[in-house]
Amino acid sequence: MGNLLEIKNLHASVEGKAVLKGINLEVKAGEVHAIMGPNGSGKSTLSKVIAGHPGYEVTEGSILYEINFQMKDLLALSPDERAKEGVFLAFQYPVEIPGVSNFEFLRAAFNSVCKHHGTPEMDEPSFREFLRKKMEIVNMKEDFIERAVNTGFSGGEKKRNEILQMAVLSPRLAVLDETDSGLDIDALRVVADGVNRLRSKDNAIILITHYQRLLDYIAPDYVHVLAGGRIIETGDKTLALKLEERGYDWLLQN
Amino acid sequence: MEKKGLASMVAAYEALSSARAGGEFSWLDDMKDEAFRHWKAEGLPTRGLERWKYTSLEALNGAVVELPDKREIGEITNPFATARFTAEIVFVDGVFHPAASRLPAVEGIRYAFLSELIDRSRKGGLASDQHELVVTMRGFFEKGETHSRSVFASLNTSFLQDALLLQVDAGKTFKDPILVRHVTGGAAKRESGFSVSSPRVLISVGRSSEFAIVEAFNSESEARWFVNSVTDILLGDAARVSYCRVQLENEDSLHIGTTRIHHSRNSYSESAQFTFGARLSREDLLIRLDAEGAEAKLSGFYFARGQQHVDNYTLVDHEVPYTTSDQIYKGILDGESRAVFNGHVRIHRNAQKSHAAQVNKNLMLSRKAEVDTRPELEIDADDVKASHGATIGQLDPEHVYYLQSRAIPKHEAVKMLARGFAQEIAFGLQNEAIRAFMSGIVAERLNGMEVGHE
Repeated sequence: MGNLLEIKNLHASVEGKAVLKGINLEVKAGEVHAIMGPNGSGKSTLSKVIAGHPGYEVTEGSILYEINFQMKDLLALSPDERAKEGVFLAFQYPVEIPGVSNFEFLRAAFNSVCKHHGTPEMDEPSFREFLRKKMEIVNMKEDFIERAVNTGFSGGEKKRNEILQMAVLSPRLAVLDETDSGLDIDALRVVADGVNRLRSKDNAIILITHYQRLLDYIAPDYVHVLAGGRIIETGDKTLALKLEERGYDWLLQN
Repeated sequence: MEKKGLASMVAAYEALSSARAGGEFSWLDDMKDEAFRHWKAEGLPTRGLERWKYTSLEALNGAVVELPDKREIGEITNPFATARFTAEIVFVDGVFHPAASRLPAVEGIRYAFLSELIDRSRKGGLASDQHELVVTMRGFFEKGETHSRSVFASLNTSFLQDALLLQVDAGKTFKDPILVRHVTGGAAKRESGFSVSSPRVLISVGRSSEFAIVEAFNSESEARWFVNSVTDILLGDAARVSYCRVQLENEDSLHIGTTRIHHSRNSYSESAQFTFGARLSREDLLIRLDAEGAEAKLSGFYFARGQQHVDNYTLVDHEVPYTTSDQIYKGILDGESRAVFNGHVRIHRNAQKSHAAQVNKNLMLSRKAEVDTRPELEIDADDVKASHGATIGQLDPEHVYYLQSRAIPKHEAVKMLARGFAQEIAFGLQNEAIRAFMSGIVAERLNGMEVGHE
């Protein structure tokens, strides 16, 4: 099977400061890739660049993404176009949006994707029913959907809301940016469980994380170490265990 | 500046001498004359006045203002979802329009129309209960004069052709609101100049009663109107009112609104002002808290685009101890629009233990729009709590991006965020039916906006 995502020699900067300095990564459908690395290594930047955050500038290299069996220039698409084509970023710090209800937000997002693919949009009652089933995946209470997006949510609720959005949008490529940070063990389990249920042979997941513990729940096919804006090591899940044990220093010294 | 506006109104008033009510209503004629003398001497406000610093009335000053032509009024359409309203009272060009109104008999509420009372008294005299209503109406007019006098209130008194009195008996609770619709009709579109409409509403809520009312202003045509509305609300002891105004007039019109709320002990008022229409609008909300335990909640939302100019002035007078006011006004500005918010709070010397809070937040969707926000706190008592805050800002790009990352196109994201910003006001309304009604209008108006320019 061909690649879903091809990142080639990607360089990117934020506010004029170079952060990514030549990333190469290939991801196929059905795969789970974990990207680990010390603080400031460029993990979040990579996720933001994939999802098209306007604050990040790509200075060199390319990102290709498979759309209708062809590799297309992902960087040429606006953030909403990427999302419509199945790219999803679970934010490390989801923003609070007062005044917009979760229900209205999720339905607008879902229908926007439907519209793009020429499938019928869902009316309110059917979407409510559809949403109810998705909420079970992340163990969410009903009243949750009437509340304003992330407003007054606890850290764990915000992360679960990200996974709910993922469940609603069924992305082909999901990038989870430190979705495990700030979660206690129960919340982590709920989130990981949700991700596992959404994992399939048709989609790929990139997990960005600091800690091995998330990988106890979501088993990756590949583990990459990102440091200084480059991937300096790639291995299978045993690499994560090694990092847990020995830290990053042994890699950085090479 | 040429005072064509004032001169034409003086001429219009003088030409009205044949239209005196007379008889039992000679007090009204006198009151109109008295009001006429007042506004004629004062003239229209200019920007030299503190209260009009940011709003120019040149458009009115330089135009001919006339009374509407006598004409047949066609069918009046209803743009609103009004199922939840107990009654619907329609005024066209400031005159009661029974055919378009729905006025079921409700025990505990009395309606009276000045035009009908005058008509009946001419045709054979009033019954004693009708006479009583006239006395109440007269008292109300006088009360308005003592509350505060302004050129526009006086203009309204001089030119009013009708008035609505709504009287709620003591000890009654009405959760479902009444809708009063002020429609400006199809007077010939004038090249310059305005037709004047002077809606007047008097609401009296009896002791320990609870009442809810919406006044909606809209246009049936593109004709240019100068709508000069005055509403007086009188609350008995421990009475509660939810009062909401929504202005949706055409964007050639000029709208001046004056709302005066007279409190009593432990009474509560919730007033909300929604402004979407008119080329130029000015709303004065004047609240006197002159009885202990009186509490007022004020809120407002304005959405201005193109060349629109919207000005809100609120005045809350804390005159006695243990009075409370809480206000929040929010606005969205697009195009080359301008907004003014002047929130004036006075805490008088003996009004100890009073609380006053005020917030004004503005969302700018265009670089060419302008806001002047001015909190004005005068505090002469020492044991009080008072706060104010004002913000002017743009949409947070992180919010726009978050929605975009969820497949929502940028222009839809902007609308959704603007709606969210606005709905804080509609969702904050306490009366459930009014909340549903207003959040529907806010959603509709903001969904209809065009986005895409910077």
